[in-house]
Amino acid sequence: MNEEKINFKNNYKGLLLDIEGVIYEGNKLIEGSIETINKLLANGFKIKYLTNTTTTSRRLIFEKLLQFKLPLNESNIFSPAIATNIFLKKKIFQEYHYLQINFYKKILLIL
Amino acid sequence: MIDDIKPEAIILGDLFKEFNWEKLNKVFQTILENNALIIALHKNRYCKRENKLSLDLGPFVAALEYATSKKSVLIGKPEKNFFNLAIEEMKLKNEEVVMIGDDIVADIGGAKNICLSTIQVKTGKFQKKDETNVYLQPDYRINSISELPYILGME
Repeated sequence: MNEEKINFKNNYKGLLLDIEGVIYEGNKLIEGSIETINKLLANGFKIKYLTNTTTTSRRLIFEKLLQFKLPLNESNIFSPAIATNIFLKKKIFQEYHYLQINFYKKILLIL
Repeated sequence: MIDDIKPEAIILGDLFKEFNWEKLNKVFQTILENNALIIALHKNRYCKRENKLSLDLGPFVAALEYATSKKSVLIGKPEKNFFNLAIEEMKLKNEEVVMIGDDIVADIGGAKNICLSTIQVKTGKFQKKDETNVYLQPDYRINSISELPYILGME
């Protein structure tokens, strides 16, 4: 572990944190996660919570994290539903250029 | 406009225990009848539920792709665009960002695809076999998130 610490670069400014399995498991917080996140924020790190969860809305994920007393704003959470929304709004499926979103005015949402 | 009459694209999210033959069959028929595009919020194989590794959305997306002979457009991790959009919102450069996750493919693999530094935690869906994965390894592996300040040089 000591060697690793020495080798790790020191110029990071932001962290992408997965939520489930990293901060909590099931309904239980992983030990030390709140203290860790507070410490990271105090050290100036920007944190984005990057989840693949699609079973609940960003609002509900946010409320769950708030209940755990995690210091965050709803906009700090990034999920596939949010990304889809951005894609659909900006019509920027960069690597999906074959997808002319204009042609897909009718979309069936199965969420 | 979002409705279920002649959709031109179908967005698939996870239904967990609500997935059943009738729903999948209805989606299958809707895709075929309308030649609809399949957009999947992600295609993760499994996740941890009720303390056991369990089927995630991916197997159901794969089933629909197989049945319709179509390939879906993917949104969530490990897609490059997903990571790029998140970093864009943070107003940071890729080399300034570290990804911390438990999933060797979605979190670590996805982040490595856009050259982010990666740390895997040995919690959640981490498995012992991840440590010997020949194709994918994180830059660092820590027991849990609580070792993060140390590895980032804060202690």
